[in-house]
Amino acid sequence: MRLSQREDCLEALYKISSERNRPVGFVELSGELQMSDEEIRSILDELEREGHIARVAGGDIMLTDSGRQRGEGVLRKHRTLECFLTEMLGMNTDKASQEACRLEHDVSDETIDRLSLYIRDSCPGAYRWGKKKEREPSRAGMHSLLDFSEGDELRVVSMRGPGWKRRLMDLGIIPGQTISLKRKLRNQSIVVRVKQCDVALSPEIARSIFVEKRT
Amino acid sequence: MKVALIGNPSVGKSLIFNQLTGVGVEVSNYPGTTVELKGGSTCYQREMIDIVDLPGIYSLDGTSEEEDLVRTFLQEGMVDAVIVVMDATRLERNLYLLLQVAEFGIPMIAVLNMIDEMEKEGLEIDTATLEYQLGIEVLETAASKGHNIEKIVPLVRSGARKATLTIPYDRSVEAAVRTLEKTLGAGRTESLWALQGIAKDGTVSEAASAITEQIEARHRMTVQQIIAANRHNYARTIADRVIKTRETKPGFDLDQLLTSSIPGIPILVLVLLSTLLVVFIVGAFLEETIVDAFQVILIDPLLAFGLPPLAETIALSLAIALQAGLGIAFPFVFIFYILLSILEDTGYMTRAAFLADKAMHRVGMHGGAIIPLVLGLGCNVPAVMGLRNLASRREKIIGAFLITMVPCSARTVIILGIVAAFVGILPALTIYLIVFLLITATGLLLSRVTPGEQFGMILEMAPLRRPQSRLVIKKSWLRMQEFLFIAMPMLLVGSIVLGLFEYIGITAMFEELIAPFSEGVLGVPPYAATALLFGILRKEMAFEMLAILGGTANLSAIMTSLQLYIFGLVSVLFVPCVSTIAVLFREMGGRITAAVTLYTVGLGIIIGALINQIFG
Repeated sequence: MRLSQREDCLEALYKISSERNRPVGFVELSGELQMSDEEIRSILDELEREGHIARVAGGDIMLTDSGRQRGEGVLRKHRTLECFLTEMLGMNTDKASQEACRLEHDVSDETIDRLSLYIRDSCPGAYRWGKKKEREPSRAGMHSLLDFSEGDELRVVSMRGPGWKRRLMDLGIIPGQTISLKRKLRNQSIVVRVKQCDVALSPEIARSIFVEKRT
Repeated sequence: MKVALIGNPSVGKSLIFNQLTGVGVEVSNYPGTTVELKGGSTCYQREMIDIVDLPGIYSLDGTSEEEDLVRTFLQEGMVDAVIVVMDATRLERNLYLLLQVAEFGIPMIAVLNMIDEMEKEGLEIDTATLEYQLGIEVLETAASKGHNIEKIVPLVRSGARKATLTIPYDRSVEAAVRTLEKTLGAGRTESLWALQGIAKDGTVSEAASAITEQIEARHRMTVQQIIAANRHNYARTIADRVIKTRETKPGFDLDQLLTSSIPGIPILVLVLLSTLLVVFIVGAFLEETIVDAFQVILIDPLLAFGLPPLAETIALSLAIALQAGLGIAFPFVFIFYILLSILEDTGYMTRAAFLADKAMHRVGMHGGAIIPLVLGLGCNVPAVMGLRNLASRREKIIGAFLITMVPCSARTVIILGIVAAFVGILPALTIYLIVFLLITATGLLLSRVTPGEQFGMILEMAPLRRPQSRLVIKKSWLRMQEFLFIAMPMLLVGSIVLGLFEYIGITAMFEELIAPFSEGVLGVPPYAATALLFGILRKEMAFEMLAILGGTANLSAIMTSLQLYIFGLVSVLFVPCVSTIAVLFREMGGRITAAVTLYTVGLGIIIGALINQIFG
């Protein structure tokens, strides 16, 4: 319990200080954490004793190098888990965040490394969490089917979304396959032509297929 | 000898099956309508040949119900030979399935169907080279014209053999297969299944899953993806060698019109409305004719005959059931099914699904679900059965609620017979409007509260074709039989039970009990509530019972317009009929059935009471 609270504290400090680039005030910190002020104070004292943080003038808190490292590590675990839970398992964001909050303290670094390797292609947010949302319309230079217009000749680069992948694969929509965007309604429902067949796709499926223009 | 027909959805498999066996089987231009296995037999040179029509699938490696069924069927070696039916205009995609079938090592032949359409599209296929590439006999056919169909059985009898092709898989997959073969003695096909996680054998699966992990870590692709890509590539190599394209002038593109927002969506609305209008107008006319004929030929003589009271009650109940059943079945249901078959066979239904996709998302489903919903306008029973084709439990649950609210042809009779006839056409149309709004509201609500994930639509668009009247009639007739066999017996029994209730006086007792409720809440006389209740047996019975219990066919003489309107509306919303409840129970289980039933009862009473409060 104690360890997880300390990690939460470092995580919050790291998050706030890297966002604002200055020492963190006590009030800012306690707004981020769900603990009583006494608890936070005693944890901060502990952290200071261990050399993870330092107090600057006015009582504001600064992370030392070791504290920064720990905080970054925890935040990274949190983001990776959250990304996996929402993007791969389809959990809703709030639930995933809570779940990630619990899991982040027990999960090993190796698991996180492997997990993020596994989702890197489809979930670039895990590595670019520092910046605010700029995912749509392009995800780390990847364009989904919805970014193109009728008549475009395209090549499939990758797909995500485990539920429907199999059917897409069987219809011939696999990485490397050339397809043409035959119809695109204003409401984002589309028809693609693949292997002489027309296949109608819902917007959420089209969004999960990443393509590039054929040259 | 036992053979199976296998192929992608809507390649003409069922049509070939029909022509081979002469047994009536539903043919459909909509992907995935043949769910159950259908068998038949034919005689060739004094030998009995059993033929099984397997459901249309895209792949043998998937996990859907149909794919699982077909895979198990082939794995268990239940057939001596397989006939792979392919759509010549979509050869490459069809070859993908053929390659998978070939790996089973069952003697096979390939049928290259729709050769007539292929020529129209300016394609040419070098059949000799294809035969050489696959190592099996290939027969060109055109099932819609009956061309070469008679050669299929002789060819499979004498020429079926195992395919000689070997698909070159990725090096890592080949290595894994070799490992499994060496260490566990598993066959090539079984090893491939195991690598994809669909093998039957436990030890092989276990060993394979370890290898799978390694491969996936190295390639950053799932093994399924690698294997599928290899097969697709091989299919393309073969297709490239055998297909020759002639230059054709791009003709008028009807599809362009049908699938754009404008004019596609207005056309869709027009098509649906005119379908309903035709059913109304032609149906109402025919119904009157049939009902009158029954009255003169059967019912009047029966009454004049003077049987003892009990026998007369039973005989009369039977006669009325027949009169009403056929009076609905032929005019409304049959005409609706004919129109629906035309829409399906032309390939328009898939366009409708595409256009409606986004709107259907709002109510928690996707475009594909429009098929069962439209089907529900004819009869809810086959529509509920059509729910099987939806991917997730969530969609099935939402679909079950919405379908049972769709006014089927029996409810159309109520709206026409009571509201349109005695209150007016405009009020009758408002009932449709109210029902439509309630369906939308229910969908919006359910899409929020129903647990489970939402799958989007991945739907192959059926090619646009000119429907053939012979096939349309045949298919409608087969659907009609389904209706007759499920609904008619229920109807006859229900009618007799009803007659007996009346005879021993249960009906009168019930009326006394219900009186305060029906008059207080809905503002209708107690016998109308009885009529409503019997509407559970068959929807349109509510209408007939009202006339019988009220003692006159001129309903405006005994009830006010408002009462008739409320009666009509409530009986349209109130409880699905017994047949629908039965099929709901079979498809969805007890809890959903109970929920649907309670919901519709509540909805009917609340809406009825509201209207009574506002206008009464």
